Amino acid sequence: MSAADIVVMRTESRSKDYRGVLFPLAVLLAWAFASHWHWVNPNLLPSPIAVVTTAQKHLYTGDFWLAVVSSLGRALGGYLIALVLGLTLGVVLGKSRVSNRLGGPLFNAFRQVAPFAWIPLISAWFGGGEATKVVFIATVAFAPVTLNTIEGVQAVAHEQVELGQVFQLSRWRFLRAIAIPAASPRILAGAQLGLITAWLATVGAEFFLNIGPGITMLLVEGRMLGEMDLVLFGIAAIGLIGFGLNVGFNAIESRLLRWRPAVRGT
Amino acid sequence: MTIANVEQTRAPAIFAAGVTKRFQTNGSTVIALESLEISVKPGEFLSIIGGSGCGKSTLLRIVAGLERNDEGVVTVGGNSIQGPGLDRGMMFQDSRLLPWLTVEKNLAFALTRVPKQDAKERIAEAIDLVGLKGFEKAYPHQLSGGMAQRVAIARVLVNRPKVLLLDEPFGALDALTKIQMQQELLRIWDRDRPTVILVTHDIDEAVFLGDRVAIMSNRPGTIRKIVSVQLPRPRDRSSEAFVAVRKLLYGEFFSTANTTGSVEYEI
Repeated sequence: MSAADIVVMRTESRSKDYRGVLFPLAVLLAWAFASHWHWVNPNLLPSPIAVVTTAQKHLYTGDFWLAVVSSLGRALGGYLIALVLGLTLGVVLGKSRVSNRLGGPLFNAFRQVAPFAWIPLISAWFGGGEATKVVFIATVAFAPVTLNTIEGVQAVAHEQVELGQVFQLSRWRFLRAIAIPAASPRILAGAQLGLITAWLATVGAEFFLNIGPGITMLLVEGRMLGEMDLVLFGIAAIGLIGFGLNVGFNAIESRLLRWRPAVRGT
Repeated sequence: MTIANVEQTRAPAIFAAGVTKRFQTNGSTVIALESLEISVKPGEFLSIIGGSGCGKSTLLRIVAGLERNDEGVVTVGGNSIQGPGLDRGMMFQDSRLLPWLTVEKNLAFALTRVPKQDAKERIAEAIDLVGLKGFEKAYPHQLSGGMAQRVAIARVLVNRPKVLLLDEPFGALDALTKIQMQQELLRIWDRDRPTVILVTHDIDEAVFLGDRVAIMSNRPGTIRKIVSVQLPRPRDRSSEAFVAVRKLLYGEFFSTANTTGSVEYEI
């Protein structure tokens, strides 16, 4: 065994599986045929070509891109707040037994409240504008981040704690070399879930508080005008942006967790 | 040389007397060690063999400072033990490498009180010593079991401890890798002459490595016999004398007569 073998082991895990594309392609094809032979009412389900035409029309307008940027902005803004609060609270609740006794039940009760139940309260406090949307997104994304951070910081193995004792690590060094890395896979999983949730919450917030530009306006507009091609384009855009956020997060995550053996699929 | 000096060189590196350790499990008390006595000379290699659950790991953990004895005295270099310390290097059965650190950094994190430049040299030296040059940037999951244990040895060595405590360090390795690692360990021991306590359930390993082999009895754990292995090094496992010592130990180990004592056999 030589250093060259390591390189081989690394590249083996890079092969990708494209089979996941086949099923969506089949559905798309079925949809196209169904529209072509008029098996479905085009007012309810327009043809893929109609959707693509609508997409083309919108993709060249500044309005569409303003909507995308606005939505992404509030999603990431709310997410960032959730991340900071969730990580802080997660470490506190996970590490300190006293604060877990005090704050744990309240946090668990908070988690049980359906996200949209917060909207009346938040809009009363923060008005009907942008702040309310961001706060709502933060409220929703906060729970998965906190929960996974709690479990992450509690996951440090006893064996690794002993290792810290044997080598006489200072508190700070223990935290940096053992506690944080040991917690990081779980924390990152929570952060990813938080990001997905933040994007879902963005669509929700825009639906309920539809003031100002946002990607969800495509859906609202499409429904009001009865243009299902616009609705479908909106859904596709929301889905693709969410997918993109996830891909971006995965890239960051696999960079941070490159020490782990490659067992995760795509 | 004055008499005081002579006394000092004779003073044991590790000394234990009347050591008793009890564990509470489900309300009942298990006596892991009872009135255990052992004395290890500076630079000596002591092997301890015993069945699983006989408390041999507990003894090692007490010397390492990870566990406290309920009764008795344990001293290292004449001082009683106040928790873990860098004068004692503990190696566990599993390598316990931190999976998120490269080989190099797994050594660096163990080096806590050494200036940076010095640390760099020590790490390079330790990696070289265990034959892992070229693997400095590898992560633990990219290493085989034997290589991971080599890194664990290197990590114990970077702090240059006077005492090495090895808890079945090669127990999980295949037979061939094990023999190779035993030879490497002897080479390292020969170079720095630390005091070593090796806990194992492998009689062959105990004889090959130890200046003396202590046999521990089961429940409660105590030292039943100590056999002095006076074979020249390097030892030949197939030599008649080696086989004779091994045979003697087998006999002792599986003897039904439960006589306790520190009779020293010499061959």
